[in-house]
Order: sequence, then structure tokens, then C-alpha cells
Amino acid sequence: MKIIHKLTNLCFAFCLLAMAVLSVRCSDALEEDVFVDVASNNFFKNDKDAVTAVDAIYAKMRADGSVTGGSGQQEGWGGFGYGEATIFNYQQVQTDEMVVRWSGFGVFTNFTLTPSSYGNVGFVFGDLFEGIFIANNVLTNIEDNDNLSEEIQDRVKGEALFGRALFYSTALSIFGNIPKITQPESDPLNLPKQAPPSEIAQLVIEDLTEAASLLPESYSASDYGRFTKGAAFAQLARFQLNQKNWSAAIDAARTVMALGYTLSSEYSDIFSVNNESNLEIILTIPCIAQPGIGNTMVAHSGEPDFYAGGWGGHLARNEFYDTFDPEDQRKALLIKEYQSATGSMKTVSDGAMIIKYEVDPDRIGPWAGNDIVLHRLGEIYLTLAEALNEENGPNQESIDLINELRGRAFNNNPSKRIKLADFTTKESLRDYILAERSWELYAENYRRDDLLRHGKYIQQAVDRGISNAQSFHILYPIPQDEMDRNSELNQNDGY
Amino acid sequence: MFFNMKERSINSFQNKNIFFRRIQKQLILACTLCYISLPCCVHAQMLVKGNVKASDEPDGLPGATILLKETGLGTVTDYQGNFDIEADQGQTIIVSFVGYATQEFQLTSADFIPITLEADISTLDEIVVVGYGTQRKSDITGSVASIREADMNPGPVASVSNLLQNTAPGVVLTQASAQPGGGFDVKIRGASSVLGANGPLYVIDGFPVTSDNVQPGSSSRHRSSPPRNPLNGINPQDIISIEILKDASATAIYGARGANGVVLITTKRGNSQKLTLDYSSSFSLQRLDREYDMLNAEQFATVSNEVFLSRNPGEDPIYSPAEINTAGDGTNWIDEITRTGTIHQQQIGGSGGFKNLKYYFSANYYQHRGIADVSELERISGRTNLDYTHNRLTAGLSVTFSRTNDKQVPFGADSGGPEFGGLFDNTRYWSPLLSVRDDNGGFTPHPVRTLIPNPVSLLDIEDRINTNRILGTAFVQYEITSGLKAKLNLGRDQSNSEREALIPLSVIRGAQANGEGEAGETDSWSTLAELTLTYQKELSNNSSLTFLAGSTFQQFDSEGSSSLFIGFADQTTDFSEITSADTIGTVPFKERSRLLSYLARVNYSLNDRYLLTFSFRADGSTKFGSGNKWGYFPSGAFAWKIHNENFFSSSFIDELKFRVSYGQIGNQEIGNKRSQSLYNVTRRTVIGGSPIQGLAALRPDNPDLKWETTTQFNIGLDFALLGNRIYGSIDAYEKNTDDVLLDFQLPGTAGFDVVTLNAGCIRNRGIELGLTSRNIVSEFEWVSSFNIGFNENEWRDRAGFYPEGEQIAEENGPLGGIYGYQVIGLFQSQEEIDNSPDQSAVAVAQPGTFKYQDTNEDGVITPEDRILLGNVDPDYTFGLNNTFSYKNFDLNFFFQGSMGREKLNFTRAYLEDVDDITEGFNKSEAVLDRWTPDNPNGTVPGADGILGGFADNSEYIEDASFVRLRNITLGYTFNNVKKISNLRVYADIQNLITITPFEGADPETDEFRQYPNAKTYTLGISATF
Repeated sequence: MKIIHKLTNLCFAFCLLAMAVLSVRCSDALEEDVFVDVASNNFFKNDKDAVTAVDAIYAKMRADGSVTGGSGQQEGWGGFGYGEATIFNYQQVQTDEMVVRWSGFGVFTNFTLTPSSYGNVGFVFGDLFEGIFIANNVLTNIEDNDNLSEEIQDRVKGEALFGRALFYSTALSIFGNIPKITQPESDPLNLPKQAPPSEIAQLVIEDLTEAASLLPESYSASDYGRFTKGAAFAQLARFQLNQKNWSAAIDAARTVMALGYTLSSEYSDIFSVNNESNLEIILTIPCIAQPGIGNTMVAHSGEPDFYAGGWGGHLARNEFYDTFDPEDQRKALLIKEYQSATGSMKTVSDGAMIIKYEVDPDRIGPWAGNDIVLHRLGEIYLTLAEALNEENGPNQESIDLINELRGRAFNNNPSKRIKLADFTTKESLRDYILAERSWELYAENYRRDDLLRHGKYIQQAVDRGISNAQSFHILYPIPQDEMDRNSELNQNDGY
Repeated sequence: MFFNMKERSINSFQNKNIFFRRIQKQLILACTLCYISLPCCVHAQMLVKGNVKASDEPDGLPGATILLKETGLGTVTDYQGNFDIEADQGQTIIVSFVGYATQEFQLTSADFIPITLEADISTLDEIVVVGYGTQRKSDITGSVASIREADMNPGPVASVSNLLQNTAPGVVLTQASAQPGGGFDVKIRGASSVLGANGPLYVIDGFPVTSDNVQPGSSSRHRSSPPRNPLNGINPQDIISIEILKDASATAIYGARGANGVVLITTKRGNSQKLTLDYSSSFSLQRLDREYDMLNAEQFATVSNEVFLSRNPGEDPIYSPAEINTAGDGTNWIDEITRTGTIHQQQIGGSGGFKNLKYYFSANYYQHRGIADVSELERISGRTNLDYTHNRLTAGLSVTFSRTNDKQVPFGADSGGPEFGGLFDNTRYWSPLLSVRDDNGGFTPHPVRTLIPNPVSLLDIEDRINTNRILGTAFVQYEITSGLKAKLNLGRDQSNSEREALIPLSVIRGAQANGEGEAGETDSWSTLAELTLTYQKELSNNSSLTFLAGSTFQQFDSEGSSSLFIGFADQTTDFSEITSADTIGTVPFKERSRLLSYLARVNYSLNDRYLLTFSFRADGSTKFGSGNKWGYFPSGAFAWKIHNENFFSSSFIDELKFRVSYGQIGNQEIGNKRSQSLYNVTRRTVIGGSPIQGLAALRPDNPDLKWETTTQFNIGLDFALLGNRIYGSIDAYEKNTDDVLLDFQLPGTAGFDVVTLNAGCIRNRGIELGLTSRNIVSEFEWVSSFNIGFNENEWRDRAGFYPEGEQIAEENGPLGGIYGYQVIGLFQSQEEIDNSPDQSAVAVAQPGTFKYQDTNEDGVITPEDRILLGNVDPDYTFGLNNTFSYKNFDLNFFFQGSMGREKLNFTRAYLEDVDDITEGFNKSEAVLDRWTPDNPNGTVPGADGILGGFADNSEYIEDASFVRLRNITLGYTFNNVKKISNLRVYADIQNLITITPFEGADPETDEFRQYPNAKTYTLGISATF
């Protein structure tokens, strides 16, 4: 029995011990462990953290919906790439350059979009502001942060400012009346009001100017793809042009031209699989032929039985196709006669496939490795030509700049050059530049802004039979979801 | 990057080693505790033998419970009613059997004890399992439903969930998927959470298991599938009883996990020294239950031409008259991907004991080859339960191991169109005119949308999930002094699940990527340590007091990763043959949560008439905000055994007990890391020519985040009438859930998508009735049991929360409300359209399309015109079980009903929309009676673009009530077979009859990307040696 008693005591002691252990652990047992993710109070502790944080801006440029979520394997069609939920869908498809076969996008092409008919692409509003939030968050956290080296602090600040300006300038163009937010809001229920568009424009200009002063002219190969000084000035030139600040646009464009970019000798090289080495390119979204990080332009425009595959969604309009000079090499990238998967030759009747990006032989499904071009020197030439004409036109410098591009497009055929004498008025050269921009820059997301700047956006729609197009359609409606979530927002006029 | 197969295998091998080492440690601990006192035991125990028979039957009563009052250990009688049990002199045995009066005997000698049970007493004296203990059923103050082995659904079942189906009132199970081992949606007394889980807490032999899915998921359209049941790893044939705790008095002891009810599962244990062996085996065939009647080839070609010509008058039709004449029936694509399914199961179990040690063991094999080719669930499981008793020391060990091999078929992605479809919905995109394979033997490509994969090609996808699971618990209980027991309970639930998915080149997507594969692995483990003290004292005047106090700690871990890779060097259909591939991304995850709790309960019984129960639990959880770590959950209950009152005398009523309870319980099942501000990896992008990922803030800080609190009031009556021929209970309850966790969509400008807040309030109210009647008691016996549960669920305070796109939802509408447009007919003419409210903002208006009602009468049809058209949750559910027995025959019918529920039948809407038939998509036969100018009374919209993408209207939000003959079983028992004490053969049919107004394939499982339901025909045999 003694043994039993001992056992009793042992057991009892063990129980007490167990209870004690449980109780002692209690104070820290309820602290939540964080794995894989990083707790916010443990971030921005070194240069690497700051770089990883600003990398989220680059990820956001190709994301749809939430940028986080981790799998990294989504098949998203968002951001500044090509797809249904991209800037392409907002800035390109409803212009005279394009026809969209997918019936679900009729609300865009037919100017019948309402606040609640965005379908599943209305999150672009939130996408742009999520990008702005990421930039604001980086800017706040690197400010006076002693953990960071000065070099990284400057560069990351420049990248964040550029990102913020890129997202803001895009949101301003699409939605017009948007809130101005320059700090990461700590209380998510705090609802912001819209700011006058001029205030947003001022912010974009300030951000790009400061970014240009902080960003390097180029990077080592391992950082290729980051925002550069040239990109900041190119974006500034584009923005000032759209704002009709002609002299500021001229200054920015001239600064870019002094940075050592050179025109590609072949137009098609700009869009080749290996275009990252092309010296004309100022900013791209770099692509690799892998799911989610490839270029899907060919897939979006290719016919379903095109040998490179495709969904047959976005085509160049026949009327636009016909505006090209038959000898224009730029027209050669619009394809009406194509080789089908079975090897036979077929014809597209209701438009032309936009095979501007060379078909990547190593593509994986729809994903190709051609970097998506956002800014290039050819565009800067036309920007400068247009701004010079507006300031003091017509003038020989504008003509020369345009002829540089036409020379490339027509094998330096002198008969295809334009002459100052052909343009008696500023207006005539202005109209010509708009046309030249469409030949040079088609499907590169410029057309809507160009038409708006020239006051022809609504007219081009009416001219091709979209009787519904009215003056208020120069802006998109604020998506109804956003209106519901923020009672401080006012809907754009007309919707 | 290079994908190295070898390295991966080594890693998983090492993981398994660690896994077994972890288990080993627990075994050692348990065994040490068991055997530590073996040498010192020389004590005067005797073996008492006896026989139990019923007063109304000549033969012995098999299955009666013999329980030692002092230790709580016991046995059951064998087939002839015999039992033996080891006991000390002076101890008391309690003999009980359902439907008979419980008797007590004090043991004075080892003489044979003949016991005759009187049949005139109620079922209220069964011993039932409650949280952290057991109680006599008559002493229970809360609402607890017990399901005994005999009440469980016959026929082959994959999981515990199948056993619960409509066997207790207020427990609503809806089959979420009919695939082998498919999941169930389980709700006890209605749904009370939007964001959190609505399923109950499962406690297996004292171990609370998570019902989180332990299998690696996948986001890809060709690998996604509805989750399989996480309880598939537990063999249902090992279960002897299930208790369902429903009211606060019963569940509050489980605190922050009790709000959705608690299911206590008890497995079989050894209970006598005699070795008993059980063997059972069954084999089943499965046939597709019901599918849509699709157009055959001739009809398809005819309708295609009609639709084409109505849009392109004067052009040549798509199909020539000659083609139509020779088309015939064509290909039935569903037939091409389905087969006769089989279910095969074998179980061997045994129990017995030695002097102080009792054992139960079992081995089970279960294989279900589903009606979709390829899909399969295979499980091998084993269990060992040991009990050791010596004087005041009791110890036990329960270990079960299972290996589950799943083969899945693709179900497709929710968005992305037909190109992203799965196995079953893909069949609808294929014309019956096409053959499966082309002249070259390859899969026929889609003639119009070339990227839509051939349905049969999808069967080439190999998607395997192999899961190992060990659940082990060990306890030691010691009686410190008379009535005071301390119990230490340790447990571990560990699973490892590996998924290998391979999309070969024969599938379009595989060809695009030159072969695509995914490897995923999930390790989950949960560890439990708990200590309880119980003090039980019998007081004078039939009064007693029981006190329970304890602390428990449980930690939940899971980690794993998934990798996607493409571009195989060789075409292979075997994962292990992949020698090299490009890895696209590896996504790791790791999570941990802990729950630390203190609990207490007092049961007081006065004069065996008045019963009082108080319980309290404090739960500390890592899941919640720093300001709200602890939750406190009290409950109280009172019961009055009216039949024991002196003034009560009725020859009609045998038992009458009134119960009332009130208490608070919580729901903390919302996933981890929701209260903290975190940075999470972004999607991929490219810098410097390589894929990179950034880190971005995931959500704002929310230090106030806490559990949902449910306050529940329950009032009930237990009764037995007419000499216990009729007995049952009736309960009424009201559950108010406050601080409902809601994800509020934030404005895009916030930088985050959602914020999780405790805001809303939801109410569930209901009435439940459970009734058993022994209608005929003679050689021919007929027993009926019936249960019915009504539940009404509604928002009491939405706190401004509306599901996305449902801003029109009613303020106090039901949680499962379905909103849509009221259809008032079909437009007959353009003139009618011009004179009706403009509906162009929501749907195409043409002659032959739906005409919607302008419910808010603003002259235009907008999303605001949608109204409440249904509720996915039923108004009431019932189960009706009838058992007839005559001599050696037994016949059982089990009806299951779910009434007053609606379902959006998107499948039918799609199949009745002829819009895309010209793209080669097949339609249902209903389109033969579609509206056309020549058929103005057509029942189905006829113009093209009829849906405009919207099916949420009154035409397709259908009544999905159903009554199902879930089982019909006929059995015959041989009782004169040598050496076999019980031999039974039976035939069973599942889902033989379904009565429903629902127009789709199945009122439970019909979804656009469904796995169709089946009828199951089973032959089985069971024997006891």
C-alpha cells in the first residue's frame, strides 16, 4: 500500500506540476506567432525591407484585385499589361483604333457603361488606389528611418514617388474626380473626399519632378526594370502634354532626349522577344514567358486558330487599318492574313490581329517573354513635336522629329517625308500629329488620352456609329461599389 | 529553376520520421503510465458472471450494459445475454438497456447472477457522454441528442457526417458534393456566423479535432475541387455512440468553440475478458441518379439551325438536311465520363481483455470508385483502444491511424468562361455531333472555341492526394479519495497530406505549358493537454453533488507549401517520372494558434427531483486582438423530474421531465492572424530578368477583434408514455449571436480590401421534436422514430453590412437569403418592350426574353428591383425511420426531408439559354419548347442573349425542398450457425426515391460545376464470432 500511496503522491504532484506549467505559460501563450508573413512592427528594419516594400509597386502594376495573397501563381489580367481588367481596357479599346469581340465589353466600346455595369473589371479603381496606398506607406516608413542607407532611402523614395504619380495620373485620366491621399490612412473607416483635379495634377507633377531628381539614370542588370530618371521625365512629359502645359512638356521631353536613348533602327525590334536590350525603350513592365508574368497581347488579339493560339478578343479596326500607307512598315504588325494552327492561311474579316509583339517561340500558353513597353523615345519625339507645334507651330523642328519616325517606318524613303510647307496652320499639323501618333503608337495605351487632348474622343465614337456617346463620357463613372463604400464620393456628371 | 524530385522525397521522408517520433513519445508516456503499477498489484478481484434477460422475452438480452458503479467501467452482454465482469466484493453493478428499467446489484459473492429487466421503464437511464464526463440520461439538464450504433444509417458510409444525417432533430446536414468522400455542410440549430465556421466542434474520445481541411488546396481551374470531408480519416464503423450537444447548458463547457453545437464521438472499447470478433463486409454499385435531358445530335443540329437562321435570315443553315437526317442520338458526353461506381468495404474488429487490461482493435478497408471515371477514395484505417484498471488507477489509450488516397477530377474555376471549365460542366460545351476522338486517335478539338478542353481529355489529369492521419489520446485517472478523481488527458492529432497533380499534354492546358504539375504538402498537428478534477458525493435523500474543475491547453499547427511547375522534359503521366521542369513558384505557409482554457461545472440533484447545473469556461485564444484575449462563458440549467413528485401519479405518463437552460457560448473559428497588421508577399513580377515578389501590407491592425458570442435560451420536456411505448423530447430555443464577425468591404482608397469587425447580430429560433414509438411489440415488431426541427434564422442587426452586390438585402432578412428579379412573363413583342419599364441596365430585352417586375415602381429595372426570393436554409427538416422485424427478418426505411429551402438553379438557366448553341454548346431538351414568334406560349425564353449574364430571377430561384428515401434495408439474421453467434446478411439501397419540385438534377448537390449524385445498391454481411 505504501507504494500505492507514493504513486498517489507522484501522480498528484505531476498533476499540480502540469497545472503550474500550463498557468505559467499563460501570459505569453496567447501571443500570436507570425510565420511566413511579416508583422508590421518588424518591417522597414533594413535596406532589404525597404526594397521589398517598394517592389510591391511593381507587382501592383500587373496585378488585378488584391496585390497580396501570396500564391504568385494567379492568372490575372490586370494592371498595365493586357487583359480585361487592365488600363488597356480603359484607355485603348473604346477608341477608333480598336474593335473588341467579347460581348461583355460592349459597355466600354458602346459608351453604355453605368456605375453598376462594370462587371468584374470595376476593381481598377481600387487597384490604382491600392498602388497609391503602397507608395504612401513606403514613403511614410522610409522617412527619417535610420535603419536605411542614404542611397537606398533616396532610390526607394524616388521609386515610390514615381509609382504614386503613375497611379494618380492614370486614375485622374480615367475617373477625373478622385481623392487626394498622400499618407497611409491608419483608420480604414475614415472616408476621404474628392479633390479638385488641378490639385491631383499638381501632386503628380511634384512627385515626378522629385522622383526624377532621386532616381538613377540606369541600373545594374540585376535591377533592370526599375524606374529611372528617364522614366520619370518621360512620364512627366506625357502628363504635361495631356495637361496642355506645352512648355513644361517641351522641357521634360528635351530632358529625356538628352539622356542617351536612341531610336531603334527597326520599328519591330522595339517589340521583339529580347526587347530589353533595345535602346529606344525608357520603361517597360519586364516579362518572362511564365504564368502571370508574361505578355499576353498576342493571345488577346490572336484568332483562336492562330498558330500561336489566342482568344480573338482585341483587334485593330478595319477603318483604322485602312488609314495606313500601304508601305508603312508599322502596318506590317497588323495581320489580316494569318497562318492557322493546321498550317492553312486564313483571313480576319472584322479587323486585323495586333501582332505588334513578336510571337515568342518559347511562350507558355498565352504568356510571352516580350517586355511590355510603357515609355519609349519614339513617343517622346511625337510629344515634343506636338508641344512645339502648340507653342509655336507649325515649325521645322516638329516636322524633323516626325520625319525621324517616318524615315524608319518607310525605309528612309524620301517621298514619305512630310514638309513644313504641307502645313499652313497649327491646326493642320495638330491633326496630322494625332494621326501619326496612332500609326506610331497604336495599342500602346495612348489613344484615349490623345483623343481627349485633341477634343475628338466623343466625336470619334459618334463618327463610327456610337450614337450614345455624349460629352460626359470623357470620364468613366465611379464604380457603384466605391460609391456604396464611401458616402463622401460624388458621382461624375452625367452618370 | 530545376525541380529536384529526389530532394523532395527525402524531405518528406524526414518529415515522416519526425512525425513518428512525435507519436512515439506519446505512446511511451502512455505506456509508462499504464504499466508503472503492474508489479505491485496483487489484489482480491473476482470474476462475476451473469445473464440478462428481458421480462417480455424468453431469450437472453444481447447488448445490455453492465457498469461498475464505483469505477464507471463496464461491459455489455453477448448474444445470449451473458456477461462477465471483474469486480471487488461490495461493489455495485448497474445493468441497463434501452427501453428497460435499470437495476443495481451489490456484489456479495462470485455467484452467477441472473437478472431480469422489466420493460416498463424509460430510456432515461442510459449513460450518455457529456463534455468532460458522463451522466445518466435522466440527470441531464441540457438538450443532448444521443445516437446509438443501432440508430446510425445503415449501408456504406465514408465518414461520421453520414451517420448524423437527419438522425437527430435540429441537426441539418446538406451534402456539399457527391464525389467520393465529399464534404457536408453541417448546421446545428441554424447558422450564426458569416465569416466564421458554422459547423459544430467534433470531439473524438475527448479530443477536440479541427474540422479544417488538412488537404493541400489548389487555385488552378484543373485542380480545384470542392473540399473533401476532413473527417474522412476517422472510420465510422469504430463508433459506438454520438452525442450532439445543442443548448448552452451542454455546450458552454466548450466555451469559445461551442456556439455551433458540439458533436461528441465515442469509439468502441473492450469490455469483457472474452474475445469477440466482428467481421463485416459490403459491396455496392452506384449509378448516376439523375442528369439533365440534353438535346441529341439531331435535335441539336435542328435547334442550332433555327437559332442561326433567326439571326441570319436567308443564309445557309449550319447543318444540311442530310447531316441532320443521319445525326441520330450522337455522343452523350456525360456517358463518356461516367461509369458504374463501386464501394467496397471490409472491417474486422475484436474486443476482449486480460485481467486488468481490456482491448478493442479494428482494421478497415474502404474503397469508393465514384461514378465519374478516375475519381476515387480509398482508406485503410486501424484502431487500438486499451483500458487498464487497477484499484484506484484507470488508464486508457486510443489510437487510430488512417491512410486516405484520393483521386480527384477537375471541377473548373468559378470564372473565366468555358475554357476554364471542369469535367462535368465541360460536357455541356460539346455538341453531340462530335465524336470523342478524331480520325488520328487524338481528342477531338472544339470546333469553335478551340481552347475548350475535350471533357474526356480531362480524365487524363492525375490529381492525387494521399493523407496519413494519426489521432491518439491517452489518459490516466486516479481516485485520490472516495469520490475525488484526477484525470490527465493527453492527445495528439497529426496528419500529413501530399498532393500531386499533373496535367499532361493531352489536355489543352498541359499542352500550352508543355506539361504542368503541382506538388503540395500540408502537415497539421494539434496537441492537447488537459487536467480535470471530479468530485462526486451522494448525499442523503437521493441527493447528489458533482463538481468538475479543470484546465486544458490545445495548440494547432499547420505548415506546408505548394509548388507549380511547367515544361517537362518528357511526356509522362506519372509524377515520379518527372525529371526536370521549371518551377513557377513555391508558396509556403505556416500557422499556429493556441487555446488555453479553464473550466468548471457543478451538478446538484435534490431528492432526484430537482436538478441544477452550472458551468463556466474561460478561453484564452491567440486568434484575437491584444485587447480581447480572454472570453468567459457561463451557463446555468434547471430540470424538474415531475414524475418523481409524490403528487404526480398517472398510469398514462411514465416519465416527465421539464428542462430550462440559459448561457453563453462563443465562436472563434475565423482563421489566424486576422487581428494583426501584417505584410504579405505580393503576386510575382519581374526585376533584373528574374521573378520576384514584394511585400505589401495585408490588413489594418485590429486589437479589438474577438469571438462571436451566442446567448442561448432553451426550454424542453422529456417524456415517456403508455408504459414507455412512446418516448421522446421536445425543445424550443432562441439563440442570439452578438459581435458577429463581418468583413466590411473598404473603399478602394483605404488601401485594403476589407476590415474584420465584430458588429452584427443574428438570431436563430426553433422548435425540435424527437419521438420514438414502439408501435407493435410482438413477434412482429414495428418501431418508428421521427424527428423534426424547425429553425428560423434572421439578421437582428446588420450593422450596415451587406454582402457585395446585395445592398437590397432586407434589413432583417435571413442569413441565407437569395435575392433576384421577379419574372412576370416573356416579352411577346417589341411594342410590349417599349411600353414596359426599361430593363436594359440589367438584362437584354427582346421578344422572347424575361420581363422583370419593376418592384420599386420607379419606371426602370435596376438591381434595386431585386427582392428576396428564397433562402438556402430549410424552414424545417425531418427524419422518419421505420424498423420492422419478424422472426429473423428486419426491414428498415429511412426517409429524410428538408423543406422550405430554395436554390439558384444556374445549371438549368444555362442549359435553357440557346444564345450560344451556335458556338457548338449543347442545351437541355427544354429549349425545344422555347419561345419563338411561332410558339408564343413557349415555356423557355427563346431569343438570343436571354440571360445577359443574369440568372438570379424567380424563374431559376427554385424550391429545392425534398423528401428522400435515404435508405431502405432488408436483413436476415441466421442464429443457428456454428461458432458464429450472429450472422446477418442485408441489402440496402441509398437514394432510391427523391421527391422534389426542384427541376435540376439534384436538390442537394446540383451546382453548375457539380459532381452528380448517385443511387447506391449494397449487399453486405456481418458476423460476430
